[in-house]
Amino acid sequence: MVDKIDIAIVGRGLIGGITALALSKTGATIALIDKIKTEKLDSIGFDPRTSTVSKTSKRMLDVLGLWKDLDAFSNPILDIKVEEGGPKNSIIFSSDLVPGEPMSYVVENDKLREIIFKKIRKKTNTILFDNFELKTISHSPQGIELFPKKDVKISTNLLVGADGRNSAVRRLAGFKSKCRQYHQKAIVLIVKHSISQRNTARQLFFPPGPLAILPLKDNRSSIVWTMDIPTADKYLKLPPRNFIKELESRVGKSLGSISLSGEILSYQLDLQFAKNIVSPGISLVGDAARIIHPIAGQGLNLGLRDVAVLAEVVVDALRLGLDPGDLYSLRKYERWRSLDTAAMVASTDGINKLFSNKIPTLAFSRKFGLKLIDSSNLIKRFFMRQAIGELGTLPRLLRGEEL
Amino acid sequence: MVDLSASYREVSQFEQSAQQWWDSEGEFSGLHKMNPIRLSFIKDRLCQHFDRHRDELKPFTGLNIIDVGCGGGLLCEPLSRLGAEVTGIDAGKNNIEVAKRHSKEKDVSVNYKKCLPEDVVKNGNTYDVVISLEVIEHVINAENFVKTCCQLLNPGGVIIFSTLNRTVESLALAKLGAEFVFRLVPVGTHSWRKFIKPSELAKFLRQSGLYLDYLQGMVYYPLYDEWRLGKNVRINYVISAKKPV
Repeated sequence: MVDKIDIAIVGRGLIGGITALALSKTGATIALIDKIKTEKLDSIGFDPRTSTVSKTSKRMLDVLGLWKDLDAFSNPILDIKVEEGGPKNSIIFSSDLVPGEPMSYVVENDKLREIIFKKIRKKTNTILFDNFELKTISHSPQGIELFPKKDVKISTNLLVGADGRNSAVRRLAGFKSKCRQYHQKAIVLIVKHSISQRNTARQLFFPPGPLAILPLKDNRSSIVWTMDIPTADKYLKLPPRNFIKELESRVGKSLGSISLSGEILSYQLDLQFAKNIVSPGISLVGDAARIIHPIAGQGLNLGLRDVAVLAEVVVDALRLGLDPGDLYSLRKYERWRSLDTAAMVASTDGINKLFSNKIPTLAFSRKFGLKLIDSSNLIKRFFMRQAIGELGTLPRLLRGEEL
Repeated sequence: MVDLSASYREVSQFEQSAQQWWDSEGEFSGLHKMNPIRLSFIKDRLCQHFDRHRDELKPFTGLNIIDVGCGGGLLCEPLSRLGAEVTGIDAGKNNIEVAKRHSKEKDVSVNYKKCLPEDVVKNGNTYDVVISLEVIEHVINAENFVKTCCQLLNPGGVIIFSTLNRTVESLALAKLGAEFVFRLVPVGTHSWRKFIKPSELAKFLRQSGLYLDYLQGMVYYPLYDEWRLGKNVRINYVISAKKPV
């Protein structure tokens, strides 16, 4: 059996799904492929992970018709409070500095996934292939050929690798990727608490590692606690009640009484990025292209910006009758994304180094740094524009326009 | 000597590189980079003139287009995907072979023929749209070439040419710069004396009874490695004209 398909996307996560939705507007036939079986995909069980959605990313989700369903499950962030040591030494990034909508929103990955796939199932030009493990990718004069199963062959003009951290597309297509371990683990959980956080996100910097508290609906917060691996393992061995006690002792009385909602998840942190993210007929998006430190909560935003640019480049090519897999347009995507990626890798890497360190001079410079940033609205605005995703030339979807 | 439009020296120069036509980072990378804006100009003009919707998947459905000097088919394939019935002719045998093979592989329908525009005139075939891009600066007699191309056009049809202007800038940039300094195109690709001013091209078109429709510059931005349409026609430009009904 041979299927001739215009665009094949591998990976049915958030980014793969959104890529399919963005490109489906072109009228092209799309295959969305994953090795996991369908019933597992719609809900992967309880997922405590959350993402921050920047102002520009929100516009994109709005254009793609996702935000109206997501709105009820998202919480705006109006202020970001960064604390070092204790609440006395803190700076506040207030949304008053950059007028307009809230600077970002916190959304639950679970809910976003549900909404994306409900929408995809209604698209007639998108075919879902489940239980397909990619074994080989080969180039032919016709385009790219995938052999997900013995008797099945998919022939496509453009293959998009949205298959995350251990991307099979990246490996099989021979993209070289650099990887560095942070020797850190992120502990992720959702808590209920008695005192409302309203719309303030907090970033606390103290030993054993930075702690982010992101506000969710109904007096809940998403906690991302980063620490070195041995310490994390020690904490993870604690019974949940004791773990929460430890957490309470760190955040003080600001949340009131805390209880765990759901389970605790943890994963090791590393920095990964592929030098090239395109080759003839193939491109990488999202975590398959690069993984950054979750410290600034920018992973999903970076992935969405990939999708916005790739979709624009592909749509423009299709509208001129050009082959979307042609290296010329894919290079444009690669160039357009390179600066943003480099800036984000460097800044998250740098912030993490600065704040998960016990060296006295660094401790001084971050205190000094916080003071300096706090005293200058100009620098604050720059950081906030970056968080909002407004630096650089914006593709149409991020400007809130149709493709 | 018979006054044939194609210059054999120049045809053979392109023929030697024919295998590279579809390598977007090879010898013809310049044309690949220029292609999106050339197509964009064509789409704009044709959609406006024939009252088609830009957002349709195949806005050129029902249009009969000939590409004179089609090379490896860089323009023919997109035009066909946009719905047109496309004929591509070229004086180079290798070019036509490469074009035929590629369109077959990509499953795009184009009617390729190794011949000169005067041969098509003799056969009595005419078209809604005649396009000849980056060709006129390579032919022996531009005035005759334009006249022949206009004979291929149906009444009410559109003709589109793109080429290089004969200015100090084009000598410096398109000839010396592109060939010798930046090596954007192979040395000997162009002969500056054969470059044509928009006013000259417009005169030739008027002599064939056509009226000018639109003139735009095509400007290369090295910083972005990208071509854009604009007002500056001092180096590269694209021009369209219409035949009265």
